[in-house]
Amino acid sequence: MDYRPSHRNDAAKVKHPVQPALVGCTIIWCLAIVAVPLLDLTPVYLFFSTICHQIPSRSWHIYGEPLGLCIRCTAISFGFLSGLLVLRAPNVRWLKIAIAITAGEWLLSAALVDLETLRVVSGLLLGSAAAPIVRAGVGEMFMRVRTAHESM
Amino acid sequence: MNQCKQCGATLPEDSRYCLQCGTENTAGALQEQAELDFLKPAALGGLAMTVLSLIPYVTYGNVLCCLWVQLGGGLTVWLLDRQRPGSIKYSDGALAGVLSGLIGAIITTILFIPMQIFLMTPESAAALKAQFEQQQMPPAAMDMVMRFMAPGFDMSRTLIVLVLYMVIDGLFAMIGGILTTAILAGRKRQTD
Repeated sequence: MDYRPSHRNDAAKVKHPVQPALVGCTIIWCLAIVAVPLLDLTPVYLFFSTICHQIPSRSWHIYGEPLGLCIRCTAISFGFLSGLLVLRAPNVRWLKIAIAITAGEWLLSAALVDLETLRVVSGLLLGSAAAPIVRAGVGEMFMRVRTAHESM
Repeated sequence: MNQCKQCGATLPEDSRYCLQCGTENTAGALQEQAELDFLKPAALGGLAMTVLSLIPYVTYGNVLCCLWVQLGGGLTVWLLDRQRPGSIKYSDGALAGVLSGLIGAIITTILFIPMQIFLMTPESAAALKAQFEQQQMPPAAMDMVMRFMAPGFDMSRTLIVLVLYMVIDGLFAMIGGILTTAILAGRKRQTD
């Protein structure tokens, strides 16, 4: 499929909305994690239950109520947000290292020692390493869909 | 890494467009290649993520950011990648991931219909409630789930499941597809 822009000279004039849209959606996602205990958002809590075990002993609490996601998933989400805001270029090597650290930490927690700090650090690394790569993929997909739509 | 000739932003090597200003990245653009067949890989990926998500105990893998759904998206991209000697684009991986997630959501919803009829009984509801109490689920959430899991077939419930899984599976399979594309592209560059 040829998805080159039909008006190539106009392409540079169009501002790419993917970065602000992704950042906006991720901020809403992260706020929702924190808002679950603060605003007693049961439907949101149940939505998050499809992607996380939400075990209270493995979650942070606000006013005695657990956040919408466990500590690891919360760290991945906030790491993703920071990666979107701070990192510019995708780095696959960092992604592989982050996946290896997360897998290693998970094995370590199952076999020897389960430390909250390690879960936070590995989650932040994984989320931030994945963010620029996901942005690149979503950005290209957006451009592809838009140019295909324009050429119709 | 390439740089955008328009704004100077650093770009992924295979990126076809600058993600900052939208200018075409001719240095990184791949030659036009044969069309990819998305449907078969996406169907297999969608089926794999559904099966893994339904097997007792194995299903708990999904509590790590939808691991099976992401792997389903990754499997789709891996199968797609085998159709070409060169690397596939990020957008191919993203689209393949989304498609596999949507197919997975449809398969899950179809399987959910007989599950409602045959497996959701008063006894199973009681067992589920006991499990939630053991997990210390908040009472309001537990009440809502128990109402949702009432025995018998319910059309509105089936539609809610379809929409919910289309959103979640589509999103996480897309992420799995993009990340797998990046990893496979790096591996192919190393072997070239």
